[in-house]
Amino acid sequence: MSGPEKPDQQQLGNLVARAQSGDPRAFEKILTYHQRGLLRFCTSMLVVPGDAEDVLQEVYLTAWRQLSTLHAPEALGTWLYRIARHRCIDHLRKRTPQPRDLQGPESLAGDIAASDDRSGENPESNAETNAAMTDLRRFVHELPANQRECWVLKEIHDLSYADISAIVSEPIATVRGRISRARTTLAERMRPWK
Amino acid sequence: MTPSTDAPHSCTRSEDELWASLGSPPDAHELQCLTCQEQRRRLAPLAQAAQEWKTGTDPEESLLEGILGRVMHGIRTEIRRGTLFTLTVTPLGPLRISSYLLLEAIRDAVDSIEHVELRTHKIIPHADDAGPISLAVSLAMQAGQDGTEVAEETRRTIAARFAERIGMPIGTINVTVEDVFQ
Repeated sequence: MSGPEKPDQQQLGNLVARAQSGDPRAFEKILTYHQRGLLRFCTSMLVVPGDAEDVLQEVYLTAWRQLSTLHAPEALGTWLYRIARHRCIDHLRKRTPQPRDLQGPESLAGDIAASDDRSGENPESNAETNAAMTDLRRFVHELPANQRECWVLKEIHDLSYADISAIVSEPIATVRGRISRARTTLAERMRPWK
Repeated sequence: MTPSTDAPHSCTRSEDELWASLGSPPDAHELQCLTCQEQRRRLAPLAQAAQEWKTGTDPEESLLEGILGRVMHGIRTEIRRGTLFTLTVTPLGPLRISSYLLLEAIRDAVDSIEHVELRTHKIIPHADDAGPISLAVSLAMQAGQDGTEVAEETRRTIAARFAERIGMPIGTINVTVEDVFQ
């Protein structure tokens, strides 16, 4: 994922130290390096459009207030993702479940049927590529949350198993298993796009 | 039933291995192995859509600037209301100044010095809140600089900035050079 060029470890260490001393400009600069990835993660975790925006604000405020608890500047990225994960989980817990929240009147069965109907097509155009990606996003949203977060962090954010393990506070083997199960499910559901 | 990573294919190559190799052409084994070829075909649509997702732009990204701007406005407002320090005592009572303005003066002063990067900065109030405050500053300096001179220049610059901008007496200014950069 592109974005502002990230500082080296020493510059990052200085920025974090400055921010921890109360410099809002240093904190703002730190966030500019991570905001795109964090928004992407929150969007992947939350179902309702607009929720990610609210949650991301909470993530920033929590990060500012808890910045003194970050002891290793090199762990800043995983630390921010951990906060984002907790805020997303809190948000999902608080939210009253609504059937097919964001997806309008279509039912899950309808989605699958629509997807299956394309099995004879050979999608080549950009529109079809976008449609495949839209399908994938929907299928990802339908994964169990613990599989979804691990799969997204690995395949969309390119994080290592070790980083994901640190973010979700689970052993690497558990993370591997969740990603594997998610991939198996997603591959099956994306099969019509072959 | 689709095989999982934990259940290797009949050829013993795992789905994890195959998934990791999807960006490259099939190797000699995969060219020979029908199971691997079928798995590659099965995983390809997912890999392609995931790649599009990873490299694409989310529509929500246009919101990023606004979100950060709103949060930073809130944070700045919050810290401006933070700790107050006594600037001077007048017949009407003590005149106080926000720690934010004092820290900002330190940052501006240190940022104006070449070959130096500010790390931490802290205000240490006088014991009875009536005497002068002290400051503690830590720096990273460029390699080849004299640490003692850098510390002295930093003290002078901060003291001058405080005198010019705030008119507040300062007790001691502790400067620590704790890192060196190239």
